[in-house]
Amino acid sequence: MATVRSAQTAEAASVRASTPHKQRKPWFSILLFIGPALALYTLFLLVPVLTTFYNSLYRIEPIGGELTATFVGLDNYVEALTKDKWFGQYAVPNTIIWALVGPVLEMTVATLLALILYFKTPFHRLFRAVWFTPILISGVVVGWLFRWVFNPDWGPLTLFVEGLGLEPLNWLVDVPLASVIVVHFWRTFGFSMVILLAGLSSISDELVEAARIDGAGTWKVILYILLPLLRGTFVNVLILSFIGKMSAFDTVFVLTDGGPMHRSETVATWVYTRTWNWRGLDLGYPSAMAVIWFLVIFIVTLLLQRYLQRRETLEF
Amino acid sequence: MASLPQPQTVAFPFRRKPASVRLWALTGGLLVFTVVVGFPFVWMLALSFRNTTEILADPFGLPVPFRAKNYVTLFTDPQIDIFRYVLNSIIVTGGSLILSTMLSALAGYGFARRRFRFRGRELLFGMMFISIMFPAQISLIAQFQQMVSYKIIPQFEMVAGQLQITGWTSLYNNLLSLVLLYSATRLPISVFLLRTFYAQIPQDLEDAARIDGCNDWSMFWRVMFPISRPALATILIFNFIYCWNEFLYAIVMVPTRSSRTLPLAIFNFLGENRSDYALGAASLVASTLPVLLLYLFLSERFIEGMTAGAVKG
Repeated sequence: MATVRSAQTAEAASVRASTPHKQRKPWFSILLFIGPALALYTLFLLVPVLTTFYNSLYRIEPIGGELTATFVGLDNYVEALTKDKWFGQYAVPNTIIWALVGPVLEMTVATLLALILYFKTPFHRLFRAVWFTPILISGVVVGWLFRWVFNPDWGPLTLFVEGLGLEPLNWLVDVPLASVIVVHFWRTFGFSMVILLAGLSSISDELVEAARIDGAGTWKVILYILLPLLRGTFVNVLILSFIGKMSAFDTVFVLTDGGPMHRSETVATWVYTRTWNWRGLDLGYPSAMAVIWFLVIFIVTLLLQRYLQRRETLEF
Repeated sequence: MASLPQPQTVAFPFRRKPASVRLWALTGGLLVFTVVVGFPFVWMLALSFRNTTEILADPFGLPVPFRAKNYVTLFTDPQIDIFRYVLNSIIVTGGSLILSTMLSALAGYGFARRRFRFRGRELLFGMMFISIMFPAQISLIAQFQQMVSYKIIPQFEMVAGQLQITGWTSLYNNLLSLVLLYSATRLPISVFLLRTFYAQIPQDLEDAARIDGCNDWSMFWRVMFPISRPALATILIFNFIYCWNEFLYAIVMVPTRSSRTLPLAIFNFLGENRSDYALGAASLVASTLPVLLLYLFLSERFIEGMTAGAVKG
């Protein structure tokens, strides 16, 4: 006990001696470094998030050129959950389907491709570079380009399917949601693949070597070494993919604008449409939908984190 | 700092069977897949050098004869006025990058070093960190409300030979609104990445600089900021892609023709010229080209920058 205490005292004394500034907190510097970022973050991100929660209890309409708020309690929530058929019958089911199908498709393909590239197949650098490119492109360009790819008269996909002797669909009219899912998959799978590949590459070579010396074949190395150790990265990518599908806006908006007849409507496009492309401007009601959806995303993310991730922090 | 996969030294498992047929079948499959993935880009490029009659006659045709007319029209037609939108995008992207990089470097340093610890700092950082996963929709409507109601842009007018402020307008339809929103949106992830970087710098370096007479500010500005260049390059690329391509905030905050950014302008331009596929393709290529050219020369940095932080080691 005595030795411990004297060691502590000695340590404390040496700390004091080596850093004489330690006694006073450098409050001015703290404010200088953290203050500006915190101010911008608070004013333009944190306050708007809180305001959205607050606004969801009001009806906010422009009256005489000024936005005027009227308290309506939970009316907006009741309307969204029980009366708004575009929200309940189109936007929500579509987004849920997408958020289930999209990540499963993306994670399967991305993991397979990452495993293949991990083994340095020929042209792996070229493949990685090409697959990654779509994520760099604006959603406007992607959406419009695929409007042409899917064009029923002269679109390459239509002509290709005709060339195979099959009957092509009018893709954006017959299967609008599937089209959106495919285009968004095209846009993001390479991004997920690259993160998974980086995760694989961060696994110690010695482990793989050791397993191989012990006689493990390629499949056993993948199954018992690579995949289990990839888990942390895999869950991160899954969460990113999930959030991406739940809130994707520009690809859908440009490709189908939620149509035809709301059949590819998502929550993101519906919140936008109800706010800025509706009969009258009301900032309250769409805020309620945004809050509902935010809570769904938040809770599911926490659950994924809690039950799939072994460690506690979410590392983006 | 999550770094990119280094070239591997793992023994290639297929190598046991020399010149494996399976390997070449796999590579062939991957090549076909890659051609399908890359096709839209090549096709878009080909369309932009043809005219609409040719495109409709044969959508898969090569650009023979080679026509540059679409680009000439796009860049010289005063009706299209593309350089105004390019300029708007450069202003917004440049402003956002300067603001977000400076603020996140300062905050990353302040959040990382032991010297600046205070009660509640980790809580503040955690709060900022968790907003990385917030979708834009949860703040968008209130941000719109902010931009409409904050009347902070002074209007100047010459009155009797003197410049006077005659009134105040809101941030709505002003490019400054996008600079502020993009910076605020990119702050959490940038602060997170830079904090990780600054936390790894050994205390000895700081102690040495302190003995050489550095105060807190010169420590940051003359020692820490310069050595963080690799991390700064990473977040610059990351944030550049976001700002250059962003669409949702742009369509909500700056819908007026004169203040549109490039993605929004292209969107409206395509909507107004639905049947001129050739000119449309040229506009798509032109708006994408800066990014693709950079990517061509810096692809490793891009891939590293865009995926930084997502690897769980």
